[in-house]
Amino acid sequence: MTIQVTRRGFFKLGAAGLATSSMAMMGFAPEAAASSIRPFKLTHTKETRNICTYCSVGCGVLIYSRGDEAKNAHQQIIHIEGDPDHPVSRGALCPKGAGLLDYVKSPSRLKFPEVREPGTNEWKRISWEEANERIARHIKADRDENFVATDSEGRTVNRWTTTGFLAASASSNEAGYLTHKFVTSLGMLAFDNQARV
Amino acid sequence: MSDISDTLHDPKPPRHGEPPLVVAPESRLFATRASRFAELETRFVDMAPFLAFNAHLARAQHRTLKDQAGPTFAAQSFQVALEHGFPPLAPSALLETLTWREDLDALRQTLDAALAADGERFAAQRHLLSQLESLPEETLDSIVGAIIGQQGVPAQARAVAPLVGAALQVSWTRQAHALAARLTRPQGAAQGLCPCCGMPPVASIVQLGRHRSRVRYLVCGLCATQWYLERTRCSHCFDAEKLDYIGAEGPDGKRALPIRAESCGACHASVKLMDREWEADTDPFADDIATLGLDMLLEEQGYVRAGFNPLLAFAGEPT
Repeated sequence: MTIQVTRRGFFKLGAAGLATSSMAMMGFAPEAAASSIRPFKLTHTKETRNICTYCSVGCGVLIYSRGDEAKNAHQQIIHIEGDPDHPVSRGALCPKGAGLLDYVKSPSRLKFPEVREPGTNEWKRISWEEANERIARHIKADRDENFVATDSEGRTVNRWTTTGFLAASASSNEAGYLTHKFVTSLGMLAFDNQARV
Repeated sequence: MSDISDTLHDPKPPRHGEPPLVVAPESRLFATRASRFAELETRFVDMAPFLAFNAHLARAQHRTLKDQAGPTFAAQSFQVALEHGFPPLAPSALLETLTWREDLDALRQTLDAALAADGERFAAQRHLLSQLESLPEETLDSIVGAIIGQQGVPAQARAVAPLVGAALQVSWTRQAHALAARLTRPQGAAQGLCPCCGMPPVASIVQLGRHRSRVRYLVCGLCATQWYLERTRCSHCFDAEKLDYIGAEGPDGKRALPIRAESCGACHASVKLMDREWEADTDPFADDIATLGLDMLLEEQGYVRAGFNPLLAFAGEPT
């Protein structure tokens, strides 16, 4: 919280505050304010800044979410729009970005890791641990088999060219740094980023 | 006041692709506000008498703005303030210079004639206008002091305070209309205060238009200058983490109020937010008054009303 320039005070409004407000003293019934809102139910919406993940431009988005009754109720995303304050996109979104809410709500959206084993035509749900382990096992097997430590003339090259890596576009500098460290430490050369696509 | 043709929702940007950072009040500001009050009157029937009165008041403000001429200033008068980022129209400095007393007289007479023409329903309020006419100078000054100091107004003067506030709005809006083009966005901790007169905002508006679509502006409670503030930030403490946008819906699950209240869990201030994509003809002052009931409910939720609306006056010391 920033220090305030002014030492502004606020008025307690409540029913008593309205009864002594100028509205009442001018001769208008202050109860009208309360009765005008009585039939309604309060709604709570949050607005969260984020970045569209679907291409290298990285447009800013504002995500509106709404909880149910309780304060810690599960938030439902109800609307996504361009962030007018974002220096890159100034609130603009392409058709893909403008349809983000449909991606979020899509019935075919992938929400957990799945595997289709060789020789089957069925997708099987697996845990994140298992998915990570299987991927690591594939990476290691391929690297063990194809890693080249020296070339034909005996010079050290430490390269691995049979596996490539395409990194995501909406990464921060820090995530990009870590990705680069991880990929080059394995000797991988086929390395690209969607931000270049 | 010169008749500058200003496009209602679409002022020119300083640079291509960027929204304007400060936008002057429109010359028909009070007239459009009066129409909005009249429209809200049909939607918020419980509040109808008060809204109808305020429609008359806004029309009288429009007439006063058009008919009265304020003082004119040389172009360099505000140079020092502008160079140093001070609000050039600070009320504390200009109370003796701007002709708000003349505006108040004109406003009172115009309003009295309009209320008289509206039959008997505003007889009590016409009585207030005659009280206002015979108000001692020092009482008037103390009301003005309370308004610009955002203090409570003593009970015996509280009923006329909104009329004085309305006159101050006319005097300050007249000057702001010409001056706002020379202003830039307020900096640092002053971002929540009007760059033109230094007063707090009545509410926020998320705007429409080619150059400022979906951009949020704070609207000054006194001079109606609009200035840019990023969306999703508390206009009082600038926290962005604990904001709750509180609105209301009817039993049918449909939106029931034209506004939401941007309520901050960090400083507990709540300032109303109008969205021109919801309702293009929203007016911050009119919609604020029509939704006074929401402020009461917000208090039960632990928030305090932080919008500054001189068309309303409250009792006692602020908390």
